[in-house]
Amino acid sequence: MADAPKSHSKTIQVHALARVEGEGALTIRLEQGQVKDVQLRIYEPPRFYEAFLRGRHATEAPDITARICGICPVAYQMSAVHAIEKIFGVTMPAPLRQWRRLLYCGEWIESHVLHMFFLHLPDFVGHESAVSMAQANPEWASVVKQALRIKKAGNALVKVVGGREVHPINVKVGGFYRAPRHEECQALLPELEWSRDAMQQLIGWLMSLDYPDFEVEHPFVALRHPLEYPMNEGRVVSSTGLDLAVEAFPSHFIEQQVPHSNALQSRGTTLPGEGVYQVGPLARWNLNANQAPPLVQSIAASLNLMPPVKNPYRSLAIRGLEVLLALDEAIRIIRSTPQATSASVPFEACAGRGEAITEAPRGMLYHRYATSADGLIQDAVIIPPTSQNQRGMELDMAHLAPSLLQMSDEEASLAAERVIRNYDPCISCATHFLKFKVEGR
Amino acid sequence: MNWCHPIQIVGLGSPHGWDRIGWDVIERLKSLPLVGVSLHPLHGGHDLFNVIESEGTLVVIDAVQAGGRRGDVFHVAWPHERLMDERTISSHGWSMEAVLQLARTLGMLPPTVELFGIEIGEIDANVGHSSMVEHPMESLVLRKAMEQIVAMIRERCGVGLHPDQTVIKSS
Repeated sequence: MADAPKSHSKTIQVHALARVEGEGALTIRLEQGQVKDVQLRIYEPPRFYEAFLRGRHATEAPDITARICGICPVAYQMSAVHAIEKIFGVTMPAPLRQWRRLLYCGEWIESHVLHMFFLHLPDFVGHESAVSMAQANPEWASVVKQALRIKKAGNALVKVVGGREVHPINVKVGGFYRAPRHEECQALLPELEWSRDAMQQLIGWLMSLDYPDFEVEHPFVALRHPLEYPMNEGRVVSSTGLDLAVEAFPSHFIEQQVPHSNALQSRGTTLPGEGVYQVGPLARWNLNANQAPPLVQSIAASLNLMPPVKNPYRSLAIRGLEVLLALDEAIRIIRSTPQATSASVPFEACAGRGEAITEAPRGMLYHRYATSADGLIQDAVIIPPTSQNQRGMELDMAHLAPSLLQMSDEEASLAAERVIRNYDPCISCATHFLKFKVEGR
Repeated sequence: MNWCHPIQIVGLGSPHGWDRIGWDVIERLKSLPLVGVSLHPLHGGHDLFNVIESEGTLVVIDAVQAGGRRGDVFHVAWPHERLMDERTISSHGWSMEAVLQLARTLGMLPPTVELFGIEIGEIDANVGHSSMVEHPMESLVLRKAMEQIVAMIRERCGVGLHPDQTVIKSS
């Protein structure tokens, strides 16, 4: 492909981020070397989940919302089930709470490993895909093979606790439909332990890669739990000092419609500037590293990955730390949690309003429901992590944009895609098909 | 020629419409006395990694839209040039070609890989082909194609057909 004109003005358009949940496009407009506009346009038609939840029984919410995403269905189940249980006054017994955390560990492992090694890593070694990367270099092939095995361990965890690997079906309001069998979980230990050892080595290898120099300025926001690295519950905290109960989230964060996108964009009304913020692994790690198991903190310290880590490209390695954390947690939970004597606790449906935030692999996932006395959903609000990160992605792109002027179309396309993939958005499935159109202005 | 053991036979599909035909073939095969054969109904290409073994034979059955007539049966040995352009990997789906390419690169693929496709044509993806009442002709055509594949697989697994056995059912 011929190089783009080395002018000071051009418009970069990324058309048709097609396929599945993430249909979007990207436009960057530069004039006289200055960024005039950056728009990440998610034009996928609205899916109306919040609307068609109305009138359904609240006990259906976990399974219905799990269908929103095939990669993080556990996150949707967890946020939904916690919010509904809050309304119905359900208190989760300790073993069942641990099994839910175990299920979440499985999702973190499979989701992070998929993104890290099969979508994100090729950017760092100059290849278009994990396939060509593995074909080009035996060492990289070995890395991919190990990653597949680790991901398989995560999948197995989700299957054993959740009932099946994709769209698990075992979570219900009040607990589980079937208590996870202790012996089935015990059988997972050898692969989880192998994966933990392998992941330690892989994080070191990941840190041997070249990372572009770049740091984000927007605040980090994540859950924080007093006793553990956050997954299922906690308070909402920020790098600017916010410390809120989940109930206060709507008072400090709003969703805005922007003309160029069907996805709402979130803003923090009490955060600096225009209220842009970032959720996800980088935010979680920067705000909770001290709650990570000693093994994870030790690895992070040895690789200079303790907070603050503001380089979004290093999210690759931070996800690796979170995979290690999830593997370590899974092993601990399986070893320490006894067989649940009951799969669930009884409850009675009632009228009320409840909300919950859990930490999806991509960041905070907020659910809020209002129910009638017979347990029917009257109102539902779901705020996924990608809408919270959307404006941050645009700002990162704006920061990068001037350097795109000196690049060929192909180089500019790849550089822009890398920025998007740092966030592992749900639209990442389509970013491999970006087509750039560069117009001199 | 008989396939080498172990034999892994995978049906790719989903519960929806004609796309489930790969699963239906697996269900049909489960009713046969196949020895040394593992049968797997799977959702997508990535699931192949959970069943692939580096020896023996891998057989994949899937619905295809290749511009043929509905019910046409395709049988090719992998790799095949018609599949080369389908190497996508995303968060939500891995193409079968990408999985097989990666598996071969990583030394995880058996020496023999064969693919069976059933042409489903350009149809509404939401139409359920299990509905004989609503779509009797389409169902009959596809069922014949299924049985054709079943017979081919049965022969290659080393289980011959008795002369009196009827392979193609009319319903």
